[in-house]
Amino acid sequence: MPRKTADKATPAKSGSELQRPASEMLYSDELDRLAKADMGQPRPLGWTLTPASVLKFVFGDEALDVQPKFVGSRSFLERCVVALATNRGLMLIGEPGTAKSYLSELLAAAISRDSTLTIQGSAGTSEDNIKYSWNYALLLAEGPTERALVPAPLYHGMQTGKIVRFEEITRCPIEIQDILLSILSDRVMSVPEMHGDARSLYARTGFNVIATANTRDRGVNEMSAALKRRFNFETVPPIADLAQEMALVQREAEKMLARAEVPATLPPEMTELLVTTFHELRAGETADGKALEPLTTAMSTAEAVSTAYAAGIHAYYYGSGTVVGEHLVQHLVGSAFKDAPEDIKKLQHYFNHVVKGRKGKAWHEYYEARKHLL
Amino acid sequence: MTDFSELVDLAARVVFFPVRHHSPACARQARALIRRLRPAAVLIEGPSDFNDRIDELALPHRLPIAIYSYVLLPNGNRRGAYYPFCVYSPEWQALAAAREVNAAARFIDLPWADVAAADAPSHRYADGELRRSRYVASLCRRLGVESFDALWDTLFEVDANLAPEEFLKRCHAFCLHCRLLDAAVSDSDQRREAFMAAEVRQALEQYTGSIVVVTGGYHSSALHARLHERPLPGTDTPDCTPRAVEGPGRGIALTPYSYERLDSLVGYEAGMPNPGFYHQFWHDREAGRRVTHRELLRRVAAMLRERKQQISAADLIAAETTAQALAALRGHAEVWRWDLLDGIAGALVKEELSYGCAHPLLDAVHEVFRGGERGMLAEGTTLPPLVTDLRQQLQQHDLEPLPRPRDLEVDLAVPADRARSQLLHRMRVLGIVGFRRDGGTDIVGRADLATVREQWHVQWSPDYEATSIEASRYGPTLVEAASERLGEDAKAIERDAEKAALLLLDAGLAGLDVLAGALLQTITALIRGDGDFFKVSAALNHLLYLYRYDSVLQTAGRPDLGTLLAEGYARSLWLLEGLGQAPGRDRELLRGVQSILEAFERCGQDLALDREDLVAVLRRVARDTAQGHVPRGAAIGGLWSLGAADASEVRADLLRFADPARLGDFLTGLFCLAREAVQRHPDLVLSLDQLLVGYADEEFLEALPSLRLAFTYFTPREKHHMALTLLETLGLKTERPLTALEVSQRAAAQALGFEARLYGALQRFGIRGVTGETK
Repeated sequence: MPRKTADKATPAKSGSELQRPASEMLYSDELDRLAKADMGQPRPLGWTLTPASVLKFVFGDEALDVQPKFVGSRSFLERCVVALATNRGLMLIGEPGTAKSYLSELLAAAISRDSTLTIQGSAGTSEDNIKYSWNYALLLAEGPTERALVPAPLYHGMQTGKIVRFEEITRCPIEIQDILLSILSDRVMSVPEMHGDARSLYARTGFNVIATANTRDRGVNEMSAALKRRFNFETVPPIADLAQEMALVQREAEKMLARAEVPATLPPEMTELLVTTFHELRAGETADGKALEPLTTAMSTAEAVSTAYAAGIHAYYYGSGTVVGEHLVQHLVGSAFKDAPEDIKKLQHYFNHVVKGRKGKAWHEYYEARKHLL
Repeated sequence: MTDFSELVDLAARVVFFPVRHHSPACARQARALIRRLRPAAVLIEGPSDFNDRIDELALPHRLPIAIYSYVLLPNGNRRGAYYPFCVYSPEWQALAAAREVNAAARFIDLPWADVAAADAPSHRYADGELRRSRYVASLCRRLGVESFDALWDTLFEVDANLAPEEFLKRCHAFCLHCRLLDAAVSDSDQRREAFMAAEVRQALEQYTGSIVVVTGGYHSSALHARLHERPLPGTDTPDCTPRAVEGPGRGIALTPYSYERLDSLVGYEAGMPNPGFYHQFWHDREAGRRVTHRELLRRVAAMLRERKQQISAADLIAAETTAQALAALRGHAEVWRWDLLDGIAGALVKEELSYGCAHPLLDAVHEVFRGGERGMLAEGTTLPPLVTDLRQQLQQHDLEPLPRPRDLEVDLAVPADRARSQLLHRMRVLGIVGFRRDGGTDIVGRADLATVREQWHVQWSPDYEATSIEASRYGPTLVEAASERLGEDAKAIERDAEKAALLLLDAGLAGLDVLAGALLQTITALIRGDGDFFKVSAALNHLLYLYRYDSVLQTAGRPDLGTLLAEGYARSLWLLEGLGQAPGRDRELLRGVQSILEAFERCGQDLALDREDLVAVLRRVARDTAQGHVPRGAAIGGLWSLGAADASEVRADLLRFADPARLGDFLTGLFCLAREAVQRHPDLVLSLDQLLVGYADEEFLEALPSLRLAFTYFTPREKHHMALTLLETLGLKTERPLTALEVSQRAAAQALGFEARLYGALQRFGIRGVTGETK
């Protein structure tokens, strides 16, 4: 258990008044049970749970009443956990909306019981945001002392031996990304302003970095080969199983509708239409093996959920309260396709050649609603 | 829980040893058990009709080899099945151990010919029964592994120090639970078990000592239950005697096999995957080495470096570390198959993995895991059936390769020659050395199909024997082997519909009915998966030829070809719509659109092709501003010739393309597809005339080159006719555009003479193609 952040642990017990509590707060009971169960078993230095318990935390465990939180392949997650236990960082890459950030949060919560050491990468991210900066009043008064130093997440993570999350790393300029080079290989940060031992901050055991990168944005600032070498890359795949994805979309969309207090019904056959469309367009292949042209839009599960949600609201305020094909089609364009006229054409093409041939009333209505694809 | 004490009693008179076929752990344990018990007889699940030649298996073969059993069914279909053996096969090791301890060894399974009609899988050492059990799914969840293969390895393979008793107990328990939780035991399995039980009883009378029975674990408990009259589902069928009798269409023989083939089996035919891995693992264990993964990693690295991928020592260390850590996390005593795979994937892949997870790096890993071993039969083995079949047929057609070269010419219109040509093409497809096609009619280009001839060169070379034995791994008869080979070639094609269609032409030449079964699916998948309009429409063109026009290859009108043609047609339409701009490929594009319309006109009724669909697509293409001018013109032309657009619509469209930069391209498309309709409607020519007259000089010059191209679609006579119609409509009846050409007899004779000399010269220098087009 982390010692220095004991003050933070207090709100962790009751996260209910927060808009979105961090995973370690939300699931603190589960983490406690897991920690108790694997007490005394060998684990990588500095980890609060064993690698096996980390997997249980993410995929759920009936015996310890831990809920499943993520849909994906087991060997993929095993690779992720193992990468964090070695001397390389973990780079999660994938399409937008594949739950990369969520997974990195879960892993950080399970391994360090703290998912808040997060750097948000952007074009404006500077060295100060990553390593440390100074409280200038104290700096002038006392000179470069520990008190005057304002630690940024990386400094904090190295000092306390925790997982640091670096979101959207490829959106940072390359020279900012490369700050991680020496830190990941030598595991030391130099603080040249300080004197004596304080000049070098050695990372405690348990420190590592989970970076996420969105494959659609890559190319803006391509990563250097040197930095790539210091990471294990894992592609977070879209959900491969149609049934699992349907269940997830149904559940999440219903949850969102309930939260918005909109009592619209989303019939399962509508979810099936929607998820099948997303699945096929994303895979570039229909269920019977016909190749489709790849889209530039990421047809992620998250987009499918927001389409279903929007269709639900539409059905409630302007319809009978039950989602029909027409609602889905109207919101496909607004929610998922946004501003991509090329893709809308491909979507029309999909309707003309794939949806048209499908049997069943629901598919037929869905096809009839294609006039909204403009 | 079930009591296994009887099943695992090693002191019993009959010891049932359960195996998963191709499991190294089972092989090792079975061998150890036979060495320890020194039984009087070892009974093995294998074709009992091979028993009289079982000694042939003791010859120094190079593995993998297979016993091949084939049969001619009453309905006239031929079917064959394999019992493959690799060095780590339990059956193979049991045979070897039986020889070591001087025990009698016998196969006890029902001859395959007996169950063949029930559509049993043709890979007889598959493990479908275990694979599909519900028990496996729930056990996977419980143990946190992803698949049956991983589950099996976790329970049986990874731990090398499993005690024999513990292994037996575990394996019996696993297989019995699979059986109990499975739906029904199939009829053919019950018959086989009844037969095997009878064989065991017979052996009990024949031998005095103990007996070890090595069969698939799924059957072990059933055999035990039958022998000791214990209750177990699926053991109520009475004893069975083989129904099939010896006949001319039936046989059994040894044949070379390969890891490639073993690894490619899927579905009900699937067995242990990745033979290369288990092969290496077996040899390492035999030599007392424990680090199989390091050798495999070395091979992967070597292969990647050969392919110019940069793999540094640091990368290898990272892959090794990750693999070790994964093995530790998963509780494996040593780095296992998918630890290494995941280790390499995690540490070396630095890009996004595409959907379906193909990556050059992972391909290399799979290749190493697959292994490249190919079997070879030892001298003294009865020749594989293919070699016998092949020699017989060559002799029959007087085509045996002799040291002295022979050049043959065959005329495909003559039935006897046609049979010879088919035989030669089959030899060519199988890659048997000594048969080469030197020339003849170009059936792919279809330049001149009036006479179809082929020239062949036949000569014996030392490789002839080797390659024909090598080819026997594809099948026992020439037809089957060549079909299988074509199937393999089809699988090697990646997203290229045209190549797939050419393969069909090849099959037609070799007289192979390759559309039966899996190949039809492969080719359908290739057509569906190809996203290139030009290739798919070229394939459509070949298919149309085969289905509609071919008389030489006798494929015309075949319903399965019709299905493929419909598939190619639908796919071409689909792709045409998404085509967009394709600069410089106008000619191909027009040929593609022509193929679509031709397919519709010639076969629309036979194949129930939907006219509405075609019209809708053409309308959308005609309206689509993202498409080039040529395809838009072609779409309008297509609509016109289909009668879905009338002349006034076409005229309106013409005005839309009035811009001099676009007019020619548009007309090229229009004229190509609606050649006849254009001539029937003089008013279109009139509108065109008005348009052209309205151009300024520079505009006209700009439009001229593409206009000239457009008008090449008409013959001189048609152009002349158009000019006449135009003059008439303009009221210039008296003016004749061209005065009749007066040619004296002498001049005509001179011209003819010159032409004859010209063609003579062309022929002498071997310049082809020109004569055909000027006709």
